[in-house]
Amino acid sequence: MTMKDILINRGFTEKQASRLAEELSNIDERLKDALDKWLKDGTETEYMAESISIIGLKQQYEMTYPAALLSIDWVLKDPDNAVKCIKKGLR
Amino acid sequence: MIENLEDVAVSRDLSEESRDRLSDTGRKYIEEVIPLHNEQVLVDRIDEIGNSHPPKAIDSDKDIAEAIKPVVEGINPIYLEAPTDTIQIERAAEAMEKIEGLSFDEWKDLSFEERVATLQQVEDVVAEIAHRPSCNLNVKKMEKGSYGYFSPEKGDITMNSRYIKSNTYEDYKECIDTIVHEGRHAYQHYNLTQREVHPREGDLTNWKANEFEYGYQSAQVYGFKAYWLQPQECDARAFAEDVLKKYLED
Repeated sequence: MTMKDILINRGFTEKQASRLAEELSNIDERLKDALDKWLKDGTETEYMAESISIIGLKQQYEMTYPAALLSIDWVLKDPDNAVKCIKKGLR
Repeated sequence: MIENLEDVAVSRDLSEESRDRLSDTGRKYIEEVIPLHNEQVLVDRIDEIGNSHPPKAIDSDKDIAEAIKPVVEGINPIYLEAPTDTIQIERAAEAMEKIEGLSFDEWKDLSFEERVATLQQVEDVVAEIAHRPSCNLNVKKMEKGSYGYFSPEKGDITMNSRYIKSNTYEDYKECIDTIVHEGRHAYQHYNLTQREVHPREGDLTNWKANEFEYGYQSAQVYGFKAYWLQPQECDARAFAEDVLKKYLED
């Protein structure tokens, strides 16, 4: 089963799954284990970078696990900008 | 308001050709209803000639703008081309200076309900300047870091009561930033679905691509990066930041 199929099975629309699969396939190496575990059986592994955590983002912003993973991915790849933007919150 | 159109010679021979430019037939079709001083009839006729979906501002075509010049003052601004962003920002800041209770010194002494009413006034003046309908402001308690949102389905704005209740200067600024930011989303939505009043074609192209080609990228589904970098959010952030800066420095 492709990543896109798994995402659709987990409740994402086809458009969402397509876009997410594309982004998740380029995720930072340090998050690949967490992604693989989630894809395999839905296990949500915690990961923290620059004091921002996956579980923290999920709780605070009602994010899906893939959304939180991609947010931490951004923090790992571009910490200065990502942290500044995440701290500004959601509008 | 004059309801009876029977005495008006109704020219309905609008071929495809005459819809591409303002022909003599098109001009007559508009000019014959101007004396009626019936805004809806006039708007409907101009929209019919324009044949855009959503329709454009009724004065976006210079020939039509010329034809309706005698009555344009009496037309509801939501049908007319909005000012440029530079002018909107300037006018918004000026209008906000006149809102009682909005300065921080006054804000500190307001009750929660008075603060909500003050923020509603901000929305009302910014909407009028932007040539769009005003949104109702709702409040509810949300998690820290979530300031508010615009609901395209309901056409209203919701803000986090946590920040309205706060007495810090930082949270006061966040409240003003949020109401202007969400109002800008309402403006984008108005332009995309009701009427194109925004004067800058490039912005409209970006908002359309964001909304209709890629879809709005919510942080909840796509994460912070996709949400933060999309055109609609970049535009709303920039607009609100400029209004707040202008208001606070004046």
